[in-house]
Amino acid sequence: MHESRRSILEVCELSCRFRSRGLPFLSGSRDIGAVDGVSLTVGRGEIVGLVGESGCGKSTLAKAIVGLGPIEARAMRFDGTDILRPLDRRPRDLIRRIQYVFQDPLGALDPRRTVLYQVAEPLLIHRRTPDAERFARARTALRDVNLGEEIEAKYPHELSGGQRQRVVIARALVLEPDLLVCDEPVSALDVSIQAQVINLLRDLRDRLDLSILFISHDLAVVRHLCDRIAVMYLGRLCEVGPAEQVFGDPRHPYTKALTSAIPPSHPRLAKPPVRLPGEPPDPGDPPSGCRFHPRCGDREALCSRVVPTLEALGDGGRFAACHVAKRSTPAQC
Amino acid sequence: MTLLSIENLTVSFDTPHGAAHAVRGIDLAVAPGEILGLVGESGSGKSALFLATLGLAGPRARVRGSALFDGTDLVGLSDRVLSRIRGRRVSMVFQDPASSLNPVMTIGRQLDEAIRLNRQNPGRPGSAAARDLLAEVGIPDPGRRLRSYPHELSGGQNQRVMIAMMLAGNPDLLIADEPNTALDVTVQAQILDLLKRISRARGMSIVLISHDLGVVAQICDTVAVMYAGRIVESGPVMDVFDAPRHPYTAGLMASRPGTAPAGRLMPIGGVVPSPFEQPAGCAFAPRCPRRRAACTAMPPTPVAGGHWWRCFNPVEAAAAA
Repeated sequence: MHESRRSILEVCELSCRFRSRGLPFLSGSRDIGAVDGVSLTVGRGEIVGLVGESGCGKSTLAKAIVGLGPIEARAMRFDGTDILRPLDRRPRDLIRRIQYVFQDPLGALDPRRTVLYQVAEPLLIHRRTPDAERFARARTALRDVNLGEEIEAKYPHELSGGQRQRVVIARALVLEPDLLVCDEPVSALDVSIQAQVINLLRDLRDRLDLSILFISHDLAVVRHLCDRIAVMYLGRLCEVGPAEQVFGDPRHPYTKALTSAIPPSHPRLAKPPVRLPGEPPDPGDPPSGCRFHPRCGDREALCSRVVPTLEALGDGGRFAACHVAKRSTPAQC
Repeated sequence: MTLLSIENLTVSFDTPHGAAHAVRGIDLAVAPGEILGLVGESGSGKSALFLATLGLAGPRARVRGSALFDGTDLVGLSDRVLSRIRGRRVSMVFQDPASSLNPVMTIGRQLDEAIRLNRQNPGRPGSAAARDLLAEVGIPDPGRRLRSYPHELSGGQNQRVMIAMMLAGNPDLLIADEPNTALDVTVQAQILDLLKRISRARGMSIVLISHDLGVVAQICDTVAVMYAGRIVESGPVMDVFDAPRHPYTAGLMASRPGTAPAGRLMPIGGVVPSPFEQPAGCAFAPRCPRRRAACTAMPPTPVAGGHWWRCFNPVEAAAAA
């Protein structure tokens, strides 16, 4: 399976801290740990889904991987090379190999440039291709995302939402990256159009052996597309594992609540969601011990004192950071 | 017995480029206590339909047809008369609670205002009624929350406050326009759960406007699927989900992940027609895999029945099931 493949990305205990100044007369400045000690790998040709609710730090983590924002980590390697440094201090070729796809394609495109120009522009910036070949390469990238010649001379406002997002993906692909970091790439699209982009990402992985880190709050989409899932809550990973197993048999209480909230595909499958009391706490003042414990139905005395680490449950490539889940897993040799 | 009966309603907007046709002739009925899901993609006219019905579509909207609510035709009513119906008989909840609430007023004052405006007789003092409403929508410690401002509450709690305000007038019908889209997944599920509970407890009808068939499957009794300003299929949720007959409904279901985890999704090709066009036939024909010659010539008429569709060449019931 995919987890036995060589990893292209290894993140080891990554944290991202922001300084919040607040209102000076009310409170002093304080540190907000948006991401706290996250370790994650993405295999070559693997699609890893990163799910969690707003404010859990999934976008911060994605930005840190491409070198944007504050990063502290024990190690962060890409294809064996150390990438624990901000974007402006990364070698250009490394920047080329990790590309980012944003949520809102209209905001990510230049309204006053044609599609073909925008897809060719990264090649100019990275000085990768002789001038004569640049547009030919851009055309190939556009064909890779199933867009025809007729849209080359168009401007972003003339395209549909799905076409725009495919242009953004083509622009990332033209540099022949190894890893695509996609931050909510289908959330702004209509259902019938979403499917185009989801199918495309899967085809690209199959054809180009591309690795994808796919960030989304839409669990049905993640389940459909991803090989492996990492669930995040308040800056930490709470469960990691193969997609079907995590969705089919969630072990962390937060994952249980999250998966129960997926809207059903048929009214007969509708069931009441697991109710989580309260709301996600303030990341500037996270709860002690397990960050989920104040909302957890399974909590024990230990949970409020000791931070659970992400530990293997059995040998199926599954991990959970939960004292209770860990104990209820039969020991395997 | 129907509470709201919309007949042949059309809505168009005057624009510098000509008339934009948002709603092109809708027939829709809502029974008392029923939860109806109105599904469509962006631009299908699902929001415009109810904004126009309640006189909230703005001065450039041209509304024709009728919308009988408990015997009164809402179309063409003066704003003064309509404002007595809105809030008291029909309420509307929108997508983004943060922009619907006043940021500089406490939750309590905003609720009091809604109660004062919508109750014919004041009855009990405002704050007690407000506290009861907050408790009904599941806000913990309602007495303390009355003194909070919207920014001190989460998005899910603010949406609960909005729903509480809309309940202040004890309406017969609640229009919920994508009430959970801006919220997190677990909170979304809770808001849906809340709406269903309130509907059953009060016998209140709900029209739930959504782009997500999953949301409809979760709580609705009946569903109406809109495409380009028309309802293309409607019926009890079980029937429509068991055997979608209109190719667009079937396409929506096949393009949504969740049914077969490993299977390939089937996107619907092509794009939604422009609101400035007036297609002679079925608006979905250019994108339809089951198109026939007749489809582009004239619009199909609905097939009568509890589960009806508007298509010359519907998907076979057996194949769909």
